[in-house]
Amino acid sequence: MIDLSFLKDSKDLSLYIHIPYCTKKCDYCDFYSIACTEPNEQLDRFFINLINEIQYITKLYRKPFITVYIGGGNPGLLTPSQLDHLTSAIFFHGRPQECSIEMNPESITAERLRILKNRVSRLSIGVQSLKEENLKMLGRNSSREATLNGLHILDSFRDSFDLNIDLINNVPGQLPSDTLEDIDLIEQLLSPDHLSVYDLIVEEGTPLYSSILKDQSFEIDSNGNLDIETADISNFLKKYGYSKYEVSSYAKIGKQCVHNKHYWEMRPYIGIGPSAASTLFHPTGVIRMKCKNNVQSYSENRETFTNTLYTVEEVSANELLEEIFIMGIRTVKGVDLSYIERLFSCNMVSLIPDTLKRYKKQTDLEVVDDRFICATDTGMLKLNTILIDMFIELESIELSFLGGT
Amino acid sequence: MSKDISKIRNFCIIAHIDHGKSTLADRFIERAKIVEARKIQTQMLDSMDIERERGITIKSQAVTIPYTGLDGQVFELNLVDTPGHVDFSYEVSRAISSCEGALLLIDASQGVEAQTLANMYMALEFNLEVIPVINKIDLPSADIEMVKRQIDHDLGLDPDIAALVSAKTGVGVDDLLEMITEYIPHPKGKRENPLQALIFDSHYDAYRGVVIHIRVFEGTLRKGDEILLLHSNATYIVEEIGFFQMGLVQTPDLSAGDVGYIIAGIKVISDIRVGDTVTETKNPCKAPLSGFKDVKPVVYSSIYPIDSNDYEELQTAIDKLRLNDASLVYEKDSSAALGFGFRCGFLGLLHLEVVQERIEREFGLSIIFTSPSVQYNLLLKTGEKIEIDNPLEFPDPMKIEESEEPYIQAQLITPTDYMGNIISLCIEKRGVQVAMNYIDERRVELIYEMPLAEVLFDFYDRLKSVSRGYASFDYDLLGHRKTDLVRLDIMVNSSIVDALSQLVFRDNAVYRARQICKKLRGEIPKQQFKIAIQGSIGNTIISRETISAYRKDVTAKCYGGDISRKRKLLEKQKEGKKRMKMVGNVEVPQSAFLAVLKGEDED
Repeated sequence: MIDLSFLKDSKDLSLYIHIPYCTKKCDYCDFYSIACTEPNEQLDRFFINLINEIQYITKLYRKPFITVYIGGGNPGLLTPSQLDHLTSAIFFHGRPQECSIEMNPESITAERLRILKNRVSRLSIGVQSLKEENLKMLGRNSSREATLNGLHILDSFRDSFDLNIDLINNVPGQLPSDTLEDIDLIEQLLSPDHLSVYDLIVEEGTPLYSSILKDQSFEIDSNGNLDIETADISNFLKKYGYSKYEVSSYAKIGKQCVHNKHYWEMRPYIGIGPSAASTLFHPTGVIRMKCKNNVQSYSENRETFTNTLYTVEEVSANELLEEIFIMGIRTVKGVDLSYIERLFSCNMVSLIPDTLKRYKKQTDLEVVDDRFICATDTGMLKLNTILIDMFIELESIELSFLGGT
Repeated sequence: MSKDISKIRNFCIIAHIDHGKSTLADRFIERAKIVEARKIQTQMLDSMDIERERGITIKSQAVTIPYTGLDGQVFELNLVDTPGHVDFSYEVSRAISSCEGALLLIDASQGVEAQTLANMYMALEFNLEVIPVINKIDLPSADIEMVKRQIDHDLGLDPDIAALVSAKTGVGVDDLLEMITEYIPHPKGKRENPLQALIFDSHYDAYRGVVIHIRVFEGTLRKGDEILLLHSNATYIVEEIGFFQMGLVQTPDLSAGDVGYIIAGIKVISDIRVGDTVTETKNPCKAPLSGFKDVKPVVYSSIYPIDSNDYEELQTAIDKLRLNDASLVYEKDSSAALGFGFRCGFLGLLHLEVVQERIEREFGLSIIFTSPSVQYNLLLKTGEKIEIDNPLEFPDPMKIEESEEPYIQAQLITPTDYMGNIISLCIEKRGVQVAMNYIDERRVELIYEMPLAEVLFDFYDRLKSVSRGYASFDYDLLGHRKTDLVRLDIMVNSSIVDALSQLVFRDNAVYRARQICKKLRGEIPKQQFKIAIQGSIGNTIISRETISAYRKDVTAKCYGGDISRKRKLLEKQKEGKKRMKMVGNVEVPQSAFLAVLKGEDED
């Protein structure tokens, strides 16, 4: 069993729960999920071990988690009683600042929402698109009608939750205005607090990747992006009161996702469930723990956090610094240099003078208040280019941990 | 120990590629029982991996086979294996010059091929006794009578003495060994005379240093003797001498008629020149031996290490390679895009490929070759004549009065079915037909004159494909003829990529430029700005491709579960970026040069 005893002394821990089930796997989906119908016995067996692991962690940590995020897959496939059971286990030592749950629109029922309304603070609904052709292209197991039905049920519970809607932009064959029209309609129906508008990533190995390669009307670059004419989402959303605060995230005032910000700031989190990853700070360093992508062995497992199910690797100081940049530079606020200084006792600005000089000159990067390195609007479009140059410059530098967060 | 020179036979096997030389050599070695049965593997003389893999013999190899004749006499048969490919005719000449006889191997179903004739003429030039051997008689398609007619008619040899063998099954091999002792004359020379030995090869052994392969023509050589290399005027003390069996076998002396090796603690690799004569310092021979055909490279290309830090290693590798590949010539070269490297001359395209593979395999280096070129003669307006093979040395076209390129006489033998295809290919390659002769009712010999440069550019592959591999090809150089030569440059955002410049016939320039630009377009990743890829002759743009700027270079989604993967992806892209070469403001990946220079055609 993996030694997680150091968790009893840690603080600021967030929790991620992965429910690896979905009614159908979408053609673009690269997450670990398997198709299942409801009710499902395998899901029930999986759920028992999931609860065991949550209880194990709450016993060690003995504090409320900072934030919680229940994602998938589609956690909307859990039965109302499972949702009850799950949240009770998570909240054993008290409520987090924020607790989000993902759900596909077709899984929204009044019964589920009644259970959730006094437990989770935030719903994240995977709408993706309201256009039939785009849903079809994405291989979604949903229709415009089913989606609107779900949203209609949600409407009567609207005041009980902060609401996020996920949309996918850059779908092959879509018009630039498609996403804008979807936003208009969603705004009229529900006026969400938060929108995540992702450019489609065409991941190698997905059915969508194969069909696009076959079709040859679109080029996929090394990041999985398609070269499609798109609309200026950020500007469009301003009129509804949303501000962009991350590459794909938009929120109304005071409604940014605390849990996701926790990731982007590289704060500690523990992930439970098949394929979930953790970043944990122990007294002398940082580990990345990852659960295997195998729901079968997860469900059969009678012990918690075994070495057969989880892999653990040390994250070196240099790797952690890279990760802090990979995550932090995504946010409009930028990378907090004071955090880096506390971790490694180094002055970041002096470590990457060439990269900063080049990209400041191109107005892609800024240093704000001597504390944050952040990307401008143009910089946001080339984060990978910037990161790679930064990493090349960082190569000759050897960092070490000071210890503690 | 005194050996009887009349019991020595030095012979080689010459043949067209694939007619079974190496297999026959294996049978001889097996009969001689110098290798334990369990150590027998196919192509035993082909010690280079690349030879076994491709089923070709590149280097000449030697082996001494003890043989007891039917009458009980014990013979020492020195077999020198030779390559069959046209590029390596120089190696063949080295092997031939150390022998008194040759087995001319002919495939019983294929018959006489272009290379068979070329090798036979070479053997006759050196006054070798030639025994025709019809091989693969076990095949159902064998037509022994047809081959006998060809031996008589095409080769002018006596078909009645032709040996019938199957190297594969071993049938006829014993009779052939007997024929060797009977027909091939023993070497001349006296062990009392001053030492006169010919260096026909050499190789580098990681533990023992330079090993020189020699054929002793006159005199006797012993351990401890001081030897003089006539050409390089270097002296060395002999540390060890011996024979080639499956490995090196020490012997106290080598004397007239023997084929063997010398180890003499040689440190200066350039002292050893294949073709040089070895003699003794205290009693030198009067004159060097002759008999080597002087070869000139016909194909030139520059070799660069992919990692420019490997330049020193590349230098060492090429020096060592040169030791047993005397045909390789080279000098230092440098390119803005690829760094420091070597300009090399090769005997042909296959030779170039073999050198590439040997550097990569035997020395573990990753290298890149620039487009192969021939040597052009230029007459300048000033009246000065210059020879160039490197595009970077091409003068201002305004200063050129006239240019010439090398031509070859190509000999193609093909089943009549593919004649039409081959004629079309030759015409496309600027060939002019000189003759067409029917060898028999099924096969025809075509003689074309064509520019050598056309043969360098995808000719072999095309020939193979249009004739389904049935056509055979050989050529002789004819000398230089007038041409219209231009330098084709490739530019990336207006900066010339020097490594991709080529000298081409003017009418081929547009096609070639289009091909390269298209290839580069697929290989250079999108960048922050638009990239123009252009082919040009002087200031005239003859082709253009454009790579649009990327709209975005950012990952849309990244949460707690994706960090490791994302970091590893960026690390990988970082390694790729570090290998990029800057051409002006554009980052060009190493793979783009490789793709263009390898020149594979997708369409």
